[in-house]
Amino acid sequence: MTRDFRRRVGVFALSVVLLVLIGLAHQTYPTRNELTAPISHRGDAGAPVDARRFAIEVDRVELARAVNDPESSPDSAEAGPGLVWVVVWATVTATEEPLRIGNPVLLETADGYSFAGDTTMDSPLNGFSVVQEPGLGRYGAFAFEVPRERLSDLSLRVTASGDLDTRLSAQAVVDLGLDAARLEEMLDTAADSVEIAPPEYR
Amino acid sequence: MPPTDPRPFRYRVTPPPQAPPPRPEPPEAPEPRPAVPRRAPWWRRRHLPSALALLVLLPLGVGVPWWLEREDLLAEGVMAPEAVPVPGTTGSLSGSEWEFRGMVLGETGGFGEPLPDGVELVDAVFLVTPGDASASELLLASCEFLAVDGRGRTWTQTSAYAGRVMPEEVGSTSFGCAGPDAEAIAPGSEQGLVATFLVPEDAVDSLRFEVRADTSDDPEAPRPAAVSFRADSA
Repeated sequence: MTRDFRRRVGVFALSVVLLVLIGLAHQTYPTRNELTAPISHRGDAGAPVDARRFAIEVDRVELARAVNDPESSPDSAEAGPGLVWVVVWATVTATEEPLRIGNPVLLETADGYSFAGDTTMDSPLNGFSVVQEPGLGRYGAFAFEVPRERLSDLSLRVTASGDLDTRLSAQAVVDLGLDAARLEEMLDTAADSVEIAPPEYR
Repeated sequence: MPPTDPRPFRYRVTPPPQAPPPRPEPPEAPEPRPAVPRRAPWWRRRHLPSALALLVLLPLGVGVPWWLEREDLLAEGVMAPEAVPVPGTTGSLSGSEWEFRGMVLGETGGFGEPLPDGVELVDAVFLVTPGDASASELLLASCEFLAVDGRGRTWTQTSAYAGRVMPEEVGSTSFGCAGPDAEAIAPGSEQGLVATFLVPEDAVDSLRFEVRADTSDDPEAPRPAAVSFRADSA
């Protein structure tokens, strides 16, 4: 085997490796949606989570068999069979410009399920008429109807933007700090009904 | 007859021309040196012309498309126009004359809930006079108000106190700027307008108010423009 032949084999092998690397790099190239996805900031319940364009502080979480929004309907919305309402109370404060919380607001579970926040009521913080103005915190609720067996290690994902275009919008992911044992306990003491009041200034 | 030469005829032999004297041997040429390429000047060795061309073309290559894109976005109204500060209390915008008459604080008129702690209700009062029919239409179609504080925070108009009773002559600012009857303001006539904001108390001292309106009725390129009035100018 001559030296020249070995050199050619080496060049060929290197070319193949480079082609494979180019292919792999191409596979990992982010899609346009990934490039413009919301920018997430993580934090825990009980403390403000700064998502740059807004801040959110989760105050408490309630479980209920029904929710009631007097602004939308005099009747309560009962949870379906095997379901329970998870009501997350939080204060949202825009930082620099008026924002709206985009739908869906998500309640995520440890096993990878996501549940969208209710949009049939007017009063939750993700209602279209609720505008987050800079420096004026709005305290209100997000409501989710969730299967009981999916309740574990919940986190809240909230996205806000200035208009309908949500590309590169701000997003906060808040760990609600509720493990399965705590949620089981809360299920046992779930309220019959929780009233979703319109957001108030804080 | 001409006289003849009595001498016997002889050939005249012309001696051959003398060969030129041999040239002197040129002096011994020096041994030729090995060819050394001429050294380029330093600015060529360092590729200075290419670097300079790159220095000019690269910013142009990036800057020109950026500028063209920015111009398109501004023309389409996708990008907010930069507000031009107005010296004093009067300014021109989209063919209309604007006068800022002042700011009123906390006038809820007894309507609705009392203001929450730390929140201030701000009314910005303007007079506008459209110069012609086109200016009237642009006001009706596109005028809007913003409050901006010294930290750059911006607020849009609030509808929280829209139920207050206002003087009859006050125009509408809900959807564009219109007269009290929600019709276009007549050209040449002066119309009072009130823009209402809820802002944090700590923003009040540094507030300024921006008025935005389209400058063209082309729906594809409305070319909005904006002027800015300092709240303490009136």
